[in-house]
Amino acid sequence: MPELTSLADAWGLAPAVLAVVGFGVGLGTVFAAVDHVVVTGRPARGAVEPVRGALRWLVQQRRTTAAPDRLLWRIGVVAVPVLAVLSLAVVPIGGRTLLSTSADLVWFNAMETLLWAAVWLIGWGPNAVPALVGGYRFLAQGLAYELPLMLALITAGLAASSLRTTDILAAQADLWFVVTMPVAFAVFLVCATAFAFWGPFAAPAGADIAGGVLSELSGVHRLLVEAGRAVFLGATAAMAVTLFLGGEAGPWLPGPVWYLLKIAVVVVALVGVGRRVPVLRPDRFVEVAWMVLVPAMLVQALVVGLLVLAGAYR
Amino acid sequence: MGLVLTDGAVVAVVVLGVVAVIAGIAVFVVDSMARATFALLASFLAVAGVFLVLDLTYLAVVTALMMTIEMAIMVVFMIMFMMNPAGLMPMTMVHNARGSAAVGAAVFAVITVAVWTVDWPPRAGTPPEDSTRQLGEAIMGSDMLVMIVIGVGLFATMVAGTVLATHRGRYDRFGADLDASRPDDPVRGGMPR
Amino acid sequence: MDLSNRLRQWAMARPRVLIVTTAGNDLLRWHVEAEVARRGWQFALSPADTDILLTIGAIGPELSAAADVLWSQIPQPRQRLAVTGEPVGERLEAALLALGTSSAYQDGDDPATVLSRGKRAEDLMTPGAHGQHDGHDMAGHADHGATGAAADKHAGHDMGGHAGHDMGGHGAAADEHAGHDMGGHAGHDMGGHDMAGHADHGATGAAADEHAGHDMGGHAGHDMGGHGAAADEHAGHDMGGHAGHDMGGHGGHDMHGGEVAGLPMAGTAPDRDGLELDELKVTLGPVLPGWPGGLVLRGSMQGDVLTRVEFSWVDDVDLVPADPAGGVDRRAGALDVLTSFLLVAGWPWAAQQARRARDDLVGIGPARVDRGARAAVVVAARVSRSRPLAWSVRGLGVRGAEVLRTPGGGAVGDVWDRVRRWCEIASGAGTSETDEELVVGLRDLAELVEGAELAAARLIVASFDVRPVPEAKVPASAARGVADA
Repeated sequence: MPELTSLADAWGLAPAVLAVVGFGVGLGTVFAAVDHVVVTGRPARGAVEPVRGALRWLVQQRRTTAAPDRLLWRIGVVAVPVLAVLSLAVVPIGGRTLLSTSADLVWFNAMETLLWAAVWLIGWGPNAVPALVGGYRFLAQGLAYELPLMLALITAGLAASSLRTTDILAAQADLWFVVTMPVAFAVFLVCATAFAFWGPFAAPAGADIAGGVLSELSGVHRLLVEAGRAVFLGATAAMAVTLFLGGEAGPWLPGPVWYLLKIAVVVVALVGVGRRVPVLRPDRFVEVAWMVLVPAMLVQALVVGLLVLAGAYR
Repeated sequence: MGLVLTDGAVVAVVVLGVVAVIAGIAVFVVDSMARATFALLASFLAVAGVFLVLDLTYLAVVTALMMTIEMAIMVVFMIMFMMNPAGLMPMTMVHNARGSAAVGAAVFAVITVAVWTVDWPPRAGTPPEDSTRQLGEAIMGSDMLVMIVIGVGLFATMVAGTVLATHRGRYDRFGADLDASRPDDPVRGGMPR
Repeated sequence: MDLSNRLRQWAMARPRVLIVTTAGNDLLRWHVEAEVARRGWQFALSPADTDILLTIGAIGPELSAAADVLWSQIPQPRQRLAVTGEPVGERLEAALLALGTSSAYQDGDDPATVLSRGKRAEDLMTPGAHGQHDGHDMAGHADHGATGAAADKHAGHDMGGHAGHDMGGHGAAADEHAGHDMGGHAGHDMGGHDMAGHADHGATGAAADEHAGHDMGGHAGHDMGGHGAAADEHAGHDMGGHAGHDMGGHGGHDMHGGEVAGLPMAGTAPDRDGLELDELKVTLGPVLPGWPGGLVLRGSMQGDVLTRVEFSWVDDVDLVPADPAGGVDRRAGALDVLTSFLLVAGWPWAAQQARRARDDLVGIGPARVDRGARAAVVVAARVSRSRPLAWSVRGLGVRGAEVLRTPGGGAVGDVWDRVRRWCEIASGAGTSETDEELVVGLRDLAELVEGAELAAARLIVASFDVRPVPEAKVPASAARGVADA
């Protein structure tokens, strides 16, 4: 296997970080635009509205609440976009990742769990009931989704015999992993969406609790959290393409075009399905997560393990 | 290859080490449950940072991952028993503060003295190309039996603990003969039964 | 400056609207909501998310006091608008215009409006400026010299630094309106002030102190923000009283006192499972998205389980016309209920379709009404056939003594059952006798909600057409629960 250097080694740290942040913001904008189009059904304005919304939050006053735990609140608010970008650090862009670690999949997963802590802090900090309720809805939800998500990631790593995303890409040269692990692909998308508390898993930010964890945020704070969420959802799509859809692989067109095309397809599919489903109430879905998703993922991992032994991925 | 740390890396290790110690002390100083929890998490994350600098990526991210989950579960208990948003009700986070401080200081002193006085052997061999793989082989190779026994033991402990702690068992949920078609729960779940 | 003005105008061109109203103003509310939606504006979920506070119809003193508190919680730039009749569109356009220009901030005598006058920082800090505040705000600010002093100190160099303070919050906003360094604000705010404020608890207390006057209200008015103070607020206390209350709370703040920053701490009480857990007094309403306007829920919350629930109507019920339907198209009424329910159920996409159908149904011109009728059939079919929605809400809020199971795992008279009845009415297939099951008295409703989680409680309330009708008028079958009690 050829030794691939990381983006940071190839371009220098600062330009590489800038490139990844730019890629992330681009992904987030695309996600937000598609989301807006699907929700309002007005395609013409879709591309502009995320920009307008961001600007609106920039000119808006930041507010606070009575006796907040401001330190923890602000840490949570800033951590969300930072973690979203950090999770992108192990997603290959142009065949290279920002950081070349030997445990990319675990890194991605760790960023998700830290996001979990950050979102809870956003719920805890403002000292308000709706936000707190949103915060612990997110925790309960996260506990149920963490395990299936971890298993989905590990299954892809198992087939490639590596935790490195670039190795996983190389292992899909002949056959995309989605063919042999469709369950892992679906579970990955479901659980990552749940971690971004979006779509059918948006109960932590639900309208029934006035926006939940987002209810007390305004101005630049709101922008940071919303942007972080959009970037994370974009990163999820990119990671799904990397792990299960062969990354840049594809005929006729150049690799990067395929990559972006696949990401766009995943984003559109995710939003198209996610927005047409009501919120799946956590107290109902958590049971399904434990009793269906986890066993299904274990079976999927077993099947992939047997295929590895049979030499299917060599 | 990780054998000799650069100056920057040495500074990073020292700074992260100090952060870890300070955050650890903060756990006992702050008077809010949430802050104590997250000070502890900050301490662990600093340790994970040290691992990262030492090029032990897997250990670093696994530390971050597991400790975050652990703190999140602690938070669940915190909310279960305390409904004060932002936790501004001042409360002490320690029991037997003097004793634990003494123990902590003593252990810290012993370890610190040991680190500087032990005659560490010189390195034999070279650091591995991929520490993650080496770690995996160590755990899943010769020590596999131990790991599996420990894993099953831990799991059994958790299940047993939950069974002992739970207020309602299956007889409460499904009736004395376990013949109820659906469990009698205050909140129903999402499974079709 | 011109560029920044135009940018700001562009940014605020699709504002978010928070609607304050009571039952009985339905037709006007639908008209306003249609106008809002037609412009591509959105409906806010919380004060923090709001640009325009819209009061619809004649509202009583309690509700207008709650609206005042909400107003104090809305970040700038913001506009406040009361609509009591035509012309709605022009009023909305005027509010939008005002929202986008800094000149508009000089109108009115609201303290925040005064404070947001561009860069005139010196005005903000002089007693003269305070003089323009109305009474309640004065109480909050003037009581503690420390805040004023701090504000003064900062006034010279960077307004942004005040963001964390109560007063400074306004100052910072003013600065932002002037289009000044926004990045700097964020950075500054994260820095010294916050960290220092939390270095020890005493300092936190002090910081909270500064916020108390301002933010208390927020909790109070922000319907769900249910600290004990919230109840007070709804009961019609004035802000001045609150400010004083806060200060007092601080004065007597001891390590295990009952209050922090003027907010009562949660006490303990036995919970649903017989454990002794913290309980928090909460108030939901009278202003909440997807919630019957003017309805107030008071109760205790343990975890997110509501207990000791009581419902009431803000202001005097007699203010509202007794005839709930008011000659309104029943289909449109059903679509209105469905709109709220779908919002609460977390299906904004379908909620929007229901609202559009409703707006078309009551619109002008046969073609539009016809289109609305067809859209109503489509949305009703979509909702009543949605398996995920059925799976999420069935079995909640079952009414009646005996529970009759339906084949799908739900129960007769549960939330899902009612939603399907609303769908029938919305598609024009319903008969008049279904109505009885869909109307509920407040005592009956309180009983259904007792012991439910917050999410379930919201769904239960949203599945009814809750209106201020005298209890005697509630059909006998609907009051079964009360008879049992």
